[in-house]
Amino acid sequence: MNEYSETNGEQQENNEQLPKAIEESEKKADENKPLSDREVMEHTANIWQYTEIIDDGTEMHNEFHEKFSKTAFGNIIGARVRGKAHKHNGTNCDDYFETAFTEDFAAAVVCDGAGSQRLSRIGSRVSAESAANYLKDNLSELFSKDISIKDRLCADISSEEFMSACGSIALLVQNSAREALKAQNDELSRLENDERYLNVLGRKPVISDMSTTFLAAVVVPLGDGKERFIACVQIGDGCICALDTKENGERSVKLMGEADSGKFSSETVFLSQNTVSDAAIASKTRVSRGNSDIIMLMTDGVADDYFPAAPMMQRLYIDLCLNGILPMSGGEETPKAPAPISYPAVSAERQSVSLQYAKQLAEDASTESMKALWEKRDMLGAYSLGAYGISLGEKPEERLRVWLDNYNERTSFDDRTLVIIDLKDRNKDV
Amino acid sequence: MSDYLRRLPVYLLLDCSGSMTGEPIEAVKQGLKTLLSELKSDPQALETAYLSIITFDSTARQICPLTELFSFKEPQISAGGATALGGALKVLAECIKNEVRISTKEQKGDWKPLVFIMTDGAPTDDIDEGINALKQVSAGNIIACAAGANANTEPLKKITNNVLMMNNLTTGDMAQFFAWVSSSVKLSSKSVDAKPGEAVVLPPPPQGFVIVP
Repeated sequence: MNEYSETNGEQQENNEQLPKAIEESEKKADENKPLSDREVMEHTANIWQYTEIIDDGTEMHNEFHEKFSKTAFGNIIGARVRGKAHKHNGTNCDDYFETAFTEDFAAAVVCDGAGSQRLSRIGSRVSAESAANYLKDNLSELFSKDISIKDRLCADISSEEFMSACGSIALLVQNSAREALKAQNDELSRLENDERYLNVLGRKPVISDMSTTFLAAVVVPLGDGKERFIACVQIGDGCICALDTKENGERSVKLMGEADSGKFSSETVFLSQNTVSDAAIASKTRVSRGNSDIIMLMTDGVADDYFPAAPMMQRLYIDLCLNGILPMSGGEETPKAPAPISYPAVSAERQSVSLQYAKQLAEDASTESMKALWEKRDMLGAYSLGAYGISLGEKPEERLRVWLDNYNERTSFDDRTLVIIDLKDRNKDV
Repeated sequence: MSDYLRRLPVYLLLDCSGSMTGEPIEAVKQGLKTLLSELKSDPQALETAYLSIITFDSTARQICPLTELFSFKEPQISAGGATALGGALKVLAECIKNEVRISTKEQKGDWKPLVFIMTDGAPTDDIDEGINALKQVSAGNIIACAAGANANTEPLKKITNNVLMMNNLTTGDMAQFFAWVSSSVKLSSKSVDAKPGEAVVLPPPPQGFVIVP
C-alpha cells in the first residue's frame, strides 16, 4: 500500500516550501487513516439530492405515512419513509404497512417491495392492506365464535388446549399471506390492460413486477394482561422482534422470524406461490407466549441498521426512547454530553435535524458494550432529546416518522418502515 | 469503518504489458483520475463502493488493496513486459477470498463484487487455472474489455459472458471506457437494494464499443 505513496510525485514538488510540505504530509498522514463512518456521512450529507417522484401515470406513493392507534391494551405506532436513495433518484417509496386491532388483539403487516421491480410498491400496498383486513375480519370472527380461545391460550404450553388455540391463530396469520398474494393477482388483472402500465413497462405487467417481502404479527394479550401470545409469519428480509424491556441480558430479545438471505447481501425471497405453500410457510411461522411488552416489525431499511438483531434490537429500543418516540423512564435531568448529532434533512427544505444515537453512548459497536448499555437503559434520560429541549413533533407517530426519515447510518439509504406494538404503557395516556 | 458496513467491492484488472507503453498507459492513468473524481461526487458510491486495482504484465499483483474512495490514492503504474492475465485472475480470486465478506449470522455480507478487466492483447500465460480459481469464490459480476486491434476476445469469453470490444487505444476511447466503468459502479451502488441473484444491469456501452456476442 505504501509502495505508491512514497513515490508520489506531488509530494516531491512541495519539498522546497517547508510549511506547505508539513501541511501536505499531515494531510497525507490523515489520508492514510480511513475516515470514520461519521466523517464520511458528514461529507455525503451535503451531496444527497432531494428529487420529487416522477409521475409516469402509474400509481404513486406518498413520501411517507404514519399511523397511531390506541387500543385497550397498548398503542400501535407505525411509520414509513422514502429512503434517501429513492429521494436522490426521484423514485417511489416501495415499503407499505397496515395495522388493525380490536379489544382482543393487535395485528400489523409490513411489506418491502423489491427495489428491482417496477410495480413492487403496488405489490407491497395491496399485500399489507389485504392481509391486515383479512386478519381483522377473521380474528374478530374467531374470537367471537370460539369464546374459550383466550383461556386455552393461557393453558399449559404442551397441552392440547393450547396447541389447538395456537394452531387456529397461526393458521390465520399464514392465510393472511395467501390472501395478500391473491390480492396481488387481483390487482394485476385490474392493471393488465391499463395503457399507462403497458406504456411504462413496454409490455404487460406480470406477477413478479409486484414482488414484495411480507411480515405479519398478531398479538393477543392474555389473562391479567401480563402474558401475551404472539404469532408471526416472515417471508423475506426485515425483522420481527419481541422485546421484554424488564428482562436483562439476551433473554430480553426474542426474534420472531428469520430473514431468508443468500450468501451475499440483498439476496432474499418474496411472497409467492412457493413461499406460501404449506411446507414453506410452516418454516416461516413463529409463535410465542411470554412477557414481551414491545413487538416491532420492520423492513430491512431499519433492520440492517440494527444487525445482528440479537442484541441490537435493544439498541433500537433505546434509540426510540432517547428520541422521544417511546417514553423514557429515567427522568430528564440536566442534559449530559454527548449531545445529539445534527445532519441536514434530505428534503426540499434541508432543515437541520438533531437526533440522539444510542451508539454514541455505548463504548463501541460490540455486543458486550450493547449489553452494558442495556443494563443502564433506565438511566439514560439525561442524553435524551427531551433533556436537550428538542422535540421531533407533537404526536408519537410523527416523532417516529421524523426519526426514521433522519437518522443517519452509513450505506443506509433504503426505504424505512417500523411498526411498534407497545404494550408497556397500557395504563397511561400518551 | 464499522464491521457491519455493507460494501460494494469493485476490482479493476488492468493490463500493463509492454504494448501499453506510451499513450495507452497515460490514458489509463488519466482514466483512473476521472473515475475517482466522478465516483467521489456520488453519495451512494462514496458510502458504499470500495476500489481495488490489480495490474498485470509479466506477473500480476494487487497494487491497491480494497480501499474506500475517500482514502483511495492513485497508484503509480507503468507499462512493460508480457500479459499474465491468468495470473491476474488468480490474484483476483485470492483477493476476493480475503477481502470480500460473506453474510453470516453475525456479519452482514458485502454486495457482490463488480470486476472490470481491461486488456490490449492475448494472455501469455495459462488462463484456465485462473478461471478455475475464480470458480472457487463467488466472483460476482465480471466485465471484460478487449482494447485495441490486437486484443483477443476469445480468452475473455471463457472468463465472462460480458465482453466489450474497444476498437482503438486512444486517450479518448480510454476515457470513455473509464466513464462507463464509473456509471456502472454508480448504477450498481444505486441498485444495491435490488434483490435476489439477478444479472447486473449495466449502462449501455459507449460509442465505438462493441458487445462481443
